[in-house]
Amino acid sequence: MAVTVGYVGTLEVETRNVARIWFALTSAASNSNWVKIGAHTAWFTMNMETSDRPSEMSKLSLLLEAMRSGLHLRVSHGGAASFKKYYAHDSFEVDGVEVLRAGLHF
Amino acid sequence: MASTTIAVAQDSACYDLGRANWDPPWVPDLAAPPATIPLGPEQVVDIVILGDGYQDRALFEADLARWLADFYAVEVYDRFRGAFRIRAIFTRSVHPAGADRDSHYHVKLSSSGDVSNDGWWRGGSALDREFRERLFCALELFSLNRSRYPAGLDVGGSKTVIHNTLGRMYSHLVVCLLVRGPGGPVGGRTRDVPAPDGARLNVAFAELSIHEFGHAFAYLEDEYISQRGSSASRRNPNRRSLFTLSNLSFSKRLADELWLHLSPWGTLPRQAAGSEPSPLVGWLWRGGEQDLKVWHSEYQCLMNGRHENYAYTSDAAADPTANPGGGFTGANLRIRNRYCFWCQEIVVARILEKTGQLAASGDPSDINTRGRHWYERWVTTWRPRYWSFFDLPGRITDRETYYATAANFMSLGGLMLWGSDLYQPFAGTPPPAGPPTGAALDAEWVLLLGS
Repeated sequence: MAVTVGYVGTLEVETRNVARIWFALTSAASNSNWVKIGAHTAWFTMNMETSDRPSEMSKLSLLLEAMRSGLHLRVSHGGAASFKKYYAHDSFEVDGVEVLRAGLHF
Repeated sequence: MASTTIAVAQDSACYDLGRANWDPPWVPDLAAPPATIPLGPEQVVDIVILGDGYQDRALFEADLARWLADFYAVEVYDRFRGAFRIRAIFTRSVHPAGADRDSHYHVKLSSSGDVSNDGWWRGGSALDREFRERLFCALELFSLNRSRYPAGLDVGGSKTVIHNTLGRMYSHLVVCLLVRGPGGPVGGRTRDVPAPDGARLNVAFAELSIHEFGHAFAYLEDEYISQRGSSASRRNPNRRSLFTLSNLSFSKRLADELWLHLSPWGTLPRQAAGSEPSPLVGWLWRGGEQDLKVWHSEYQCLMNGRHENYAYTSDAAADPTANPGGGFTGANLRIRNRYCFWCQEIVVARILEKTGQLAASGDPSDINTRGRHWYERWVTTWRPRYWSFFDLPGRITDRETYYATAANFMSLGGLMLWGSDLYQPFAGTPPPAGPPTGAALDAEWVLLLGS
């Protein structure tokens, strides 16, 4: 299992073949330095048409709170997905998210 | 009157190389450095260096000195120098090695000046047989550790991760046969030569090359791309064993990776953002003999080379090694005195396996089961010791800094290596498909998220 940390910088929903939530991280709550995996910004994604949608929805609630409050986030995810957001190997399916109270860091 | 003159025969000579390093033999105690552990005669690794095509003893001795300096310049061999008993034999050749095979050992060179790859080392011609007779006759001059791997050792045949089918191979004996051709360096090759006693002997043929020694001793594979566009057909083993450890992976899946612990997702987590250089050590780097469907763990390594390597991109139009008149030179990605971290770890594991350090009471008697046990023991017990002994966190940090410094890669014309398309993170496994569920709860979630 791979892990990436950061602050939620953007949160997107789209329906492109399949309903997905996408988010990307920044290195600080107040900057726009997008966290990379490899050469490109890493996009983390959750499939809303999964067999376990309630679980994905619960992650979404944590992401929203983390984004509103600038909370440090740790995302556990798999390897690069076979699909892409913008570049090959830039998308990662999320297994779990952890959020810390403001002022705490992973 | 009988002569009492004592003369040194100038047509042959035997040498001990760096004897103070290995007499008596030892290995560092990774569990309690800087203590050392003495080795018995059945644990020491023998290296015998021979020369073919040498008409001049002084030239052979100069090459011996260079070989030895190259060997100890590689940190892992320097730190484990007590495990390698290195000796050499000079035998004068009347002619340099060549296609006509009139040098002492009859090493066959191709028309391009490289060691021929037509199977002559195991062939049936008179010269082929005489090559083997002279080779094994020379080895009789020394007391050697002739331990061999059991015939039943299964590494999955020729379609798995390492080319060496280890069964019946001398496990503690490697011959480095330095070859002098009529002019210029002789391209290297490592081949297993059938021995009279039914064993097989790994021989590293080369003018001078620790790279070939890596093949012969540690069963490391070439990390360079021999031909652009070629595709690998080998596969990773189904079960992990110390005997099938490879510096190449034929899978890009995260779950299959042997060097995940070295990657930015591993023991030393690393990540970058914005314009910061991305970490590069331990991802999937393109190529390993073939171009496609095979990966290695770092941009540069002693086991890499030139051939048809890409320098920065697989886009031919943007290839920094492209020649103005067409074609390309290929990027030289070999470092003469440094293994990548994964190759270095494999070499350490091989040394500890051969010198009996991984063994413990209660080990399975079956060699294949034992190999799997030893792999598990390596991961749980010995790898942490190795990491500490070699200060891997510090070394990886230094290496990331090296790769992030454009001045170290002037041939890229200012391109930052982290922007290259020659590497990628490990790939994921698609989640199991299934029909969406939980739609009945969506209204509750909408209310919750909106609160």
